[in-house]
Order: sequence, then structure tokens, then C-alpha cells
Amino acid sequence: MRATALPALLGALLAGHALLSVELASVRGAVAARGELAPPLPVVALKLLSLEYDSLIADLLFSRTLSFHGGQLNRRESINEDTYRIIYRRLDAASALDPYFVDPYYFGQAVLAWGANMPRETNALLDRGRIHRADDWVMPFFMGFNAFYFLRDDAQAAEYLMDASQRPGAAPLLGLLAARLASKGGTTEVAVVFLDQLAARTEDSVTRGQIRQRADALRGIRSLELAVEHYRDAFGEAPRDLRVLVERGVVPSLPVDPYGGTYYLRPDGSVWTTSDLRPVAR
Amino acid sequence: MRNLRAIALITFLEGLRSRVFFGLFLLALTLFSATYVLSYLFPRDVIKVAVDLGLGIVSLVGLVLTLFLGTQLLAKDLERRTIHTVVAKAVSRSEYVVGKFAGLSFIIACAMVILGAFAGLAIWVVDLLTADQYGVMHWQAFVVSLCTMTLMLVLLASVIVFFSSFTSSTFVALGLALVVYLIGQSIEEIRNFLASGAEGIAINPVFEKIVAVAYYVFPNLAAFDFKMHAAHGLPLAASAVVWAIAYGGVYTAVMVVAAAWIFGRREFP
Repeated sequence: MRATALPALLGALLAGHALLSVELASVRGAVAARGELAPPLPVVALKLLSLEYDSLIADLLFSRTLSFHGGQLNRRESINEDTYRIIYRRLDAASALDPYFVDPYYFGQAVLAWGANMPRETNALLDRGRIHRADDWVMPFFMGFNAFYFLRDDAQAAEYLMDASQRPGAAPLLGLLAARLASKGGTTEVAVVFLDQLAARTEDSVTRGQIRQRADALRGIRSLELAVEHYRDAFGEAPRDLRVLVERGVVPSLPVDPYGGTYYLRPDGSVWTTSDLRPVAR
Repeated sequence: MRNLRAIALITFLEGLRSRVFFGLFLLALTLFSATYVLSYLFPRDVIKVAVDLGLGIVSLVGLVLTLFLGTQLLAKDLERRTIHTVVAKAVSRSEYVVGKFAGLSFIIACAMVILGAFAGLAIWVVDLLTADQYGVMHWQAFVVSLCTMTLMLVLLASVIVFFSSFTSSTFVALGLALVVYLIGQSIEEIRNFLASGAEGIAINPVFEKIVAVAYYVFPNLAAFDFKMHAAHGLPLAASAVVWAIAYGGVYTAVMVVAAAWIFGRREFP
């Protein structure tokens, strides 16, 4: 062995390592992109296996779910129903391990209720938060929103909102909202107030933007509903279509649907939009 | 009494010199510095996660320290036959056992104070740099949780002393202590699960009996765990803490006295 042999070998190996690191990263990227989210173990098993670290295991379960979902969004990959089921089960497991942990509830509301169209499951998840986080008005508020908006169950929604309105720090509007829901009617107005409240409590700017957009579209509908009522009072008949409102000077112009649709009058006299409150492909 | 103090002090200093002690502290420091980064991966419950991590690291490092240092400090005397020189001197065997336990408990207490201080510092930094909407820190519950955690480890140390009183192998003592830890952490959970009448699962009556007996034989270590209370600032019932302290004290005393008694009757090879 000459004195230079070992350093030379070391240099060659280091160069090899650098090369392999780059190669490995590209291969790993492809593997990670196809990454799957594993369903959690049954809650009983998780509780036993986590020994005294249940709240830490809850953090791990949640953060892995969060980063997986974020990765899917970043890669613009759609999430299929099975994956949403797994996300739900993981959030359920995390909140069973630590029922006071707030993040899974907010994440569930943002992702499962809106994205996955799983309002029933979301409410089952939130119910745990409602029971354990007794001072947190947001839990029953979310549940009330889901009952009203997705499940179309006004009576149930009113009950949850009543619960929410009696908790410390609740928005003063909630009691009013509950009363209005219980008395039926005025649903567009309720939805606008609801969505504004929800947007104010949403951390994620993308989700918040989507909620605001919907609130704006509904605000347009609400303003037209009022204009139609006004027209009826003034002219003693319902307008044939919305353009008449502008022609007769009831409104200066028709509001713009942020989804890119056009507002119109349905045969039953109610106001709706051609976009159906979904982004219109242009 | 003077002998007891001397043995305790020797044990304590020996523990401090141990490489296990030093290595674990380096590990803990590294982990505490990561707390800040890790808690910020969470959208809302930042403080809660910081407390989870801080207390989790303290209890894990404390556990490893107790298991390894405990078995090492006790069984080493037996394995290396230094026990003969100790027992031949004017030290009674029960003094030896109690002294060893006291020294070990003192190391654990010191380690927990230092670890707890570092964990507190890490959480304090996170708390300082986050707005209140990301959670509020409950220091009182944090300190209570650290104290009960220390008691739990002292109890475990007494279990190690007990096993070391009749086995000469470090490995066997370590294995048995680990089994006691695992059962002690789960027994309450299993008992509650059986009591709640697990739906659709036929429970074997023999198993139920075993669980019922195990609950009285093994220490209920879950009673010392207030980590979740600290993380969320849940209301802490004073009775829950006081009873845990009383329970832990009596169980520890039983173990140490039994160990002293067994050790006194033992023949050394």
C-alpha cells in the first residue's frame, strides 16, 4: 500500500457517492410521487401500541396525512375516493388518540367536507371535537354548516348552531343564524353569513379563496332575490327574466357571477346561475 | 446510615461518569433543537405539538436512562464479583440495596431536572415566537407532568433493583424491567377496554381473570402520565395527582424492601 493509495480511493468513493446521491434522488422522487397513504391500525391497537405517547402518535399520524395531501395538491393529482376514505380513517384515529387536538378537525372540515363530499363522516369526526373541546364554538359551528349546506338538514343545523352560540367567544351572529334556520326560508342569506364566518376561520389561502368565491356568488344571488321582491312590490308581477330588472331601473346592472356563469330566473321564480356554483370551463 | 449515604453517593457519581448518560444527553439536546422546526409543520396546534415533543423526548430519554443505568449500576457489582468486597466490609446487605436505589433515584431526578429544563426552554422559545391563536402554554401542568414522570421512573428503578436482587444477569434484569414497563403502561387501557364491554368481541373469562390479577401485581404506570393535560391545559384534578404519588410511593417501597429482604438471604457464587 503506497501512501497515496488510500486518499485516492477515498476520493474516488466520494465522487461515486455524490453521483449516486443525485441518481437516488431522482428515483426516490418517482417513488414518492406514487406514494400511498397507509390506512391506520384499529384504534384499540393504536392506543395499546402507543403506550404513553398517544398524543405524539396522533401528531405523527396527522402530519403524515397533511403532507401527503399537500403533495397530491402540489402535483395537481386528483385524490380518489379510496384515498379520501383512508384520510378520514387516519384523522379519526388521530383524534381518537388525542381528542383535544384541533388540527385534524379543521383539516377534516377543509378536505373531507368540501373536497371529498363526505359531510356525514366529517360531522362524525367533528362530534368528538364538539364533546371534548367543550369551550370551542368552532366545532359545532362547522357541524351546523355541514348539516345546513351539504346535508340540507336545517333542523339539525339549527341545533348545532344553538350549541355553538352558547360557547365562549362565539360570533354573536350564530344565535340569530340558528333562529333563522329554525324558522326556514332565507337560506341564501344564511349561507352568505355562514360562508363569511367560515372564510374568516380558514387558514389555508386556497381554501379561503374558494369559500370567498362561493360567498360572492351567493351574494349576487341574494341581491337579485331582493331586487325581484322589490320589482314585485313595485309592479305587482314577477319579472319575466333578470334583464327586465335593469331595463326598469330596479338595479343599475346585473352582478357578475365569480364562477363565470350568468344569473337567471328559474321557472319557480327563484334566482340561480348557469355556473351551478362551479367554475365554468372557458 | 453513613454507609447508606456513601453507597448512594458512589452510585450517583458512577452513573454520572457513565457514557450512557452523556450519549443520551447529546441525543436529547439534538431532539430539543428540532422541536422548533417540527412544531411549525402543524397549522394550528403548534404549542400542543411542541409540548408533546418536549415531554415525549424527556420521558423516552428518561426511560432509556433508567433501564440501562439501573441495570448497569446494580448488576455490574454482581457480574464483576465486586459485591464480595462490598459485602465483606461493614455494610449490611439491606444498606447496600437501599443505597444503590437511592443513588439511582438521585441520578434520575437530576437527569429529569436537566432534561425538563431543556424541554421547557425549547417550548418557551416556540411559545415566544407564536401568536396566541396557535395555542397557549400551561406551565403548571407541564411541571406537574414532569414531576409525576420522574416518580414513574423512580418506581421503575425500584423494579430494576428488585429484579437485580435475585438475578446476576444484566440482560435478564433489563428484559424483565422492560416487560413490567410495557404491561404497566397498557394494563389500565386493557382493563378499561374489557370493562367497556368490547362490542362483538367474545372475551375469554380466563383472560379477564388474568387482567384483573395483573392490575394488582403490576404497577399502573398510566396513572403517572399527565402529558396530555400539559399539552392542552386540561383541568388537573389534585386528587388524581395526590393518589398517583401515594400509590407510586407505596409500590416503590414494597419493591425496595422486598429487594433488600431477598438480597439478604442470597448466596453469592
